[in-house]
Amino acid sequence: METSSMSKGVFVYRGKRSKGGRKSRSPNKSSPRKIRKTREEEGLGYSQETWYPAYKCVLMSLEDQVQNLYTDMFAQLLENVSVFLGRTSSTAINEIPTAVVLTGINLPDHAVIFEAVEKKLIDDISPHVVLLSSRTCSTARHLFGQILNKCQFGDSEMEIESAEDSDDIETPQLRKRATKCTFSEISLWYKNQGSDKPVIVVLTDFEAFTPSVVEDFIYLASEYKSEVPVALVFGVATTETTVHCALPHRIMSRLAMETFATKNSKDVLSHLINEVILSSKCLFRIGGTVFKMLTDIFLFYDFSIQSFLQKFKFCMLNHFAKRGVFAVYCKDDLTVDFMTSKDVAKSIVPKLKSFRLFVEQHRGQEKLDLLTNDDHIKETVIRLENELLDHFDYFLVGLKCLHEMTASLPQHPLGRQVSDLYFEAVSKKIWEMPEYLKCASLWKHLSGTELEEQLDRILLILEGASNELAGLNEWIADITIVNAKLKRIFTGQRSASCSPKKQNKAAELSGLSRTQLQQQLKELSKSSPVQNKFELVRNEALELVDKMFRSLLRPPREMPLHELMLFDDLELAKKELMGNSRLALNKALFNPHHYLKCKCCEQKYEEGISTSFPDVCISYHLHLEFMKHINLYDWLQSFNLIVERNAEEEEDSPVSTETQARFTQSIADMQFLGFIKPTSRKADHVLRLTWGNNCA
Amino acid sequence: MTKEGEVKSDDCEDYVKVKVICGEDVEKHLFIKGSKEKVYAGSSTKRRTGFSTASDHFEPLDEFGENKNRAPLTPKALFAEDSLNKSRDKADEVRRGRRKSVAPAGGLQPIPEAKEITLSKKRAASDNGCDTPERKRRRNNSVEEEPPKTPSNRTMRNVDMKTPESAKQTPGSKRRVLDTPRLLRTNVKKCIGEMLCESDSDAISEESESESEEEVFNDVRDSVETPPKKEEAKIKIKKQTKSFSAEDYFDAHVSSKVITSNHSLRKLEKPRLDQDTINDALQKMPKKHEKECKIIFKNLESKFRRWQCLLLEGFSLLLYGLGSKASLLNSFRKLVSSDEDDAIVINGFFPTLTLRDIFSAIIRDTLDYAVVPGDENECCNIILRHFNHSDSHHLYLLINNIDGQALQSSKAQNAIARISMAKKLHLVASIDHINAPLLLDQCLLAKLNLVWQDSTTMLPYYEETAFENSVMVQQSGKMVLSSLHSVFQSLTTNAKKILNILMENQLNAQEANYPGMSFRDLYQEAREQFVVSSNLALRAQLTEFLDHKLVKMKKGFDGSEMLHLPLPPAILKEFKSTHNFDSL
Repeated sequence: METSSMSKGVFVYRGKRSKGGRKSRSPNKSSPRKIRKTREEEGLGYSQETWYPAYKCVLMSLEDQVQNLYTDMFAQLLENVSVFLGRTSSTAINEIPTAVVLTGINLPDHAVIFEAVEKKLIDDISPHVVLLSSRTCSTARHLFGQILNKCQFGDSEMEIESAEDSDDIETPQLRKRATKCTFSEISLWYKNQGSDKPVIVVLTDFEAFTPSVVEDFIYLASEYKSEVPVALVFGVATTETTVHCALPHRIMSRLAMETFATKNSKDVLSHLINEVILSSKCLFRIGGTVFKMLTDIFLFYDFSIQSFLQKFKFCMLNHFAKRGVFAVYCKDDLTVDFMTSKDVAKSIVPKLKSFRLFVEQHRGQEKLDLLTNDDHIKETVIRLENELLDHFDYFLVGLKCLHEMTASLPQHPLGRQVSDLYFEAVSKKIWEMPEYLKCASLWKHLSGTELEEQLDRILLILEGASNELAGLNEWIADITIVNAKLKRIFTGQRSASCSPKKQNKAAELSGLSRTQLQQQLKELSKSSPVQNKFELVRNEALELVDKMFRSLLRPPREMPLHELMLFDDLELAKKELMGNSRLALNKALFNPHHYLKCKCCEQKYEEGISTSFPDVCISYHLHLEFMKHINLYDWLQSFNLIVERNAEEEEDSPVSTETQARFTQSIADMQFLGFIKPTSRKADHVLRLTWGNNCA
Repeated sequence: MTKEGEVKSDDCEDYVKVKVICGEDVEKHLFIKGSKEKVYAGSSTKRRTGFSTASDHFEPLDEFGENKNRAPLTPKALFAEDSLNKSRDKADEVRRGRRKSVAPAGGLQPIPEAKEITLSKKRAASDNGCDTPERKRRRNNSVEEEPPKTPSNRTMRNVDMKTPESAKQTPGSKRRVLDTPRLLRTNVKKCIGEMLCESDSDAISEESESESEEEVFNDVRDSVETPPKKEEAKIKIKKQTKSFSAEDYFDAHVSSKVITSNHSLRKLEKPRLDQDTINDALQKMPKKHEKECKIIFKNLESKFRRWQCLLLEGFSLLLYGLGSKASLLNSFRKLVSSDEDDAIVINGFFPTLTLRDIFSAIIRDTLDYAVVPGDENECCNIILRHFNHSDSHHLYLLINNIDGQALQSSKAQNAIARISMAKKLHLVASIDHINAPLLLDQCLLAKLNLVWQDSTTMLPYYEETAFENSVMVQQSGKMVLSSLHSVFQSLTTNAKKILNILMENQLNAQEANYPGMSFRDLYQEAREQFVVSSNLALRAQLTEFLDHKLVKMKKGFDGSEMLHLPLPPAILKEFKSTHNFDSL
């Protein structure tokens, strides 16, 4: 093979363009190359597909929304940090102003936060902002070097320009670097450039820095304070105490610290879900199970918004790629409109199970039309798709209303977040779930004021959405009436505190004989307790709300053509986003038939090891029978027996060279795969590195 | 009592003749050589289930080897008992929904015709005792630790020690040597199966047994693959015994010593083959499943378009599964490296690969820089800057074995993850090691943005293992010898002489466990030859040897420093013969 060699491990394959055309690749230059289209525009198969632009468009809008959301969420924090640093760095105090930003343990998201911090600080306070990570600052010298380089030469853009000045140089030059990395150099540079803005140093991952490096830096910075004003920002992932633990008192006393906390990433996610993903603006709808998987990864693994979004993007890409043109849907221009009836019929009818079910519901001529008449099919598809799209918006509104009603209940039978409701409601009739019934029984214990508040909030939600969704007006009207009734009761109740009815009854009972009284009491107990006015209205209100939910929360998953809109391929998402390499490896070794699909290895379970297995599988099966030490000789003998099984077993055949070679190779494979390793405990033994014995 | 693990060649010729009486007139002779456990296999079903039945009383017999010569009598009685028990057991098991039965148990089923089965043959004197280690351990345990066999005791042991596999094997002192337990069972079953064909009275039960076994396996897979379904209780019980569980870990790492046989590879004609012989032999052999592997490969190739799409959308691919993925990556490389775009293939299994090699390949060979900066961060920055630029070309970085020895350090992993974030740099990596996913923490995962792809190719790892110092491959020492030569060339005369003294001493030593030459002796010797004048001068010379790993130093028994060359005598001799030391 071309990529195997005993002497090197790296093989470079260059495209033809690079021969002699080097200069043109210098990015900022105008060159014929610049006209070259990017790969995406060129169209490499998939990007030519009709769905691709739509995918890009949906993705862009999603990214924009996320960006806005981020800006909103961090605005307050950035403002606080910037105000603090601006205030303290201008005053003449001896300490170095230090902002400790608690970033949370979702490390992958930190880059975004600090980018925003840097931008804000450059805009507000000083152009000299240096972002440092522990990766580049193993010693104090490196740290000073980084600061000098950033300050003197700026960012990469400047470097490229400077490289362009020396035009005739054939090869790109490395960036010029500061050679003397000391604080006095920094102070010299500061003097030369002649501004009085402070130098702000941001340590993005404070925990990973060597404390002594930070100590030295702080010590020197405070010594040079009169010459170079320095301000610090520490990014701390855990708690503020880390700073106190890492730095001794004599250093701490030189800092004027203030702590700022970023928003909890869990809150950010729920905000993101409510505002972006579960809003009608997002044109990609994700199925309940997959969505649950993504949030579970977030909650139980990394708390990272960024990786959540990447996984969401993966789902989106797969959905568009699978559904092709049908995934492209906007209310205004249904793509289906542009397609010929024949294409629609060809691609929808046989593929979608939900459509087939829909057809089955019809009888007679209608059914025949749905199966054969292409024009009719197209019309129906367009109608259904419109219905589905409309319904989904109603569904989301209904979900929010239901969330209002359930979020404050004790023990949260339906979860705390809107997303919890979404997981279930999108594919099931939520009003049939026991959790919903429990909620419904809890609602009956709501006090008047609580109920009133909730109805008010529901009304707010409905009214907010009613501009676009006309169907909501009906519900608004009904709920307003009930709400008004409720209010009237409360105002009325204050005047009449006790109902006269009861008094009458008590009077009736007083003048009766015992038997009559008994009779009377029996009758009373049979008749249901009389409901007061409030209870009546409450029941009316709850019934109304329940009815509304049943209408709005009809599960989209049960509607025809839902496949076109919902991405619900949990298996794919699980397999490709989480991966399970160990399972795959063990499966292939244990039962090679699963992958090979050959006749010879089929159904050999009960017989254990088949001669036809690949060598490494035979070795694997044999090694499962051993404990933690394996005698190679015994292993080889067992192997030999399996391999030579078909030969007559009259004589104990000595191990042939071929068998030994095969065995050796399979052992090497096993060692490479990490199942065994050599040990010096005993001659010719290996150590088994896995455990368990799954063969029977 | 036969001691396990020790060879008793005179015992090896015995056959156990068993008469099976099933029904009135039917007699059956089974010649089962040397392994009463097969006879007892029927009772082992009970042991696994944890019942104590009548047959348990006979178990001490099979555990104490001296009964074996009386075998024709005892097992016969046992058999009669056993066949009764068996039917009872079966009923029990069926009732409990644990229908699984053991293959050799077929031998106990009533068979109308008498037949002689010679299951196995003469046992060579040399190769007895191929007992799997766990079986031995268990046997020892059962003999030493628990003489009184009460039902509760039995149950306890089953819970603690027995894996389902081994439970089928009743401890027997005499096993046919080369047999693996399953193979043996298979053989017995085969024979029985043949007989059954003649008298298809029991064919049905046999069938149902195999079915139940199959079911069990499905369960095993289910239990690993998918969250356990709510099924009947019987399956749950089986799962506990079959799938990997945390308990297995403690079973495997019990503090008691693991006993293995004392055999070593020296018993073979050629204890270890060298790499060339292996390659030759494997070349000559017909390849198994060539056609199927090709189909798998084709299927994987058909996914390339999707892979490329994912890569261009900013994801990285991680290929996992059994089989060498080098050819797959190479084939993918052919697709993606076009006129415009570059591709770099990196073999992570290459032992001397460094991160710097990768950087220099990217920076010097594809970006045409004259100098590669020494600082890794600087390298990353350059790469990121270039490949984030919208006008840059695409670079496909294909890494065979990102879990390879050379790339395992967190520094390397972080650097690769960092450059993979560039928009126009696309990473495809493969992993093979069973524990490779442990390398990836959440930061790496977020940077890499992985999409996992099951790409099992089932191809053998020829290339990947060529470098690995496998336990079974003979170290030819060619590499060591050549490095020794090159270092030797650069030594001063005095240093050469010192090395010579050490070498002679080592070659002359007769002891099998050569401890090395003590520093004092060496000094003495060197002084006599006027090579060094002081202790310090010798030390200075030795430091050079130690740095080049020509010489190794150990502390001796008396605390003195012992020096030796870490090379086998044959190589030393060869080395000595090529250089004329006398002329020094």
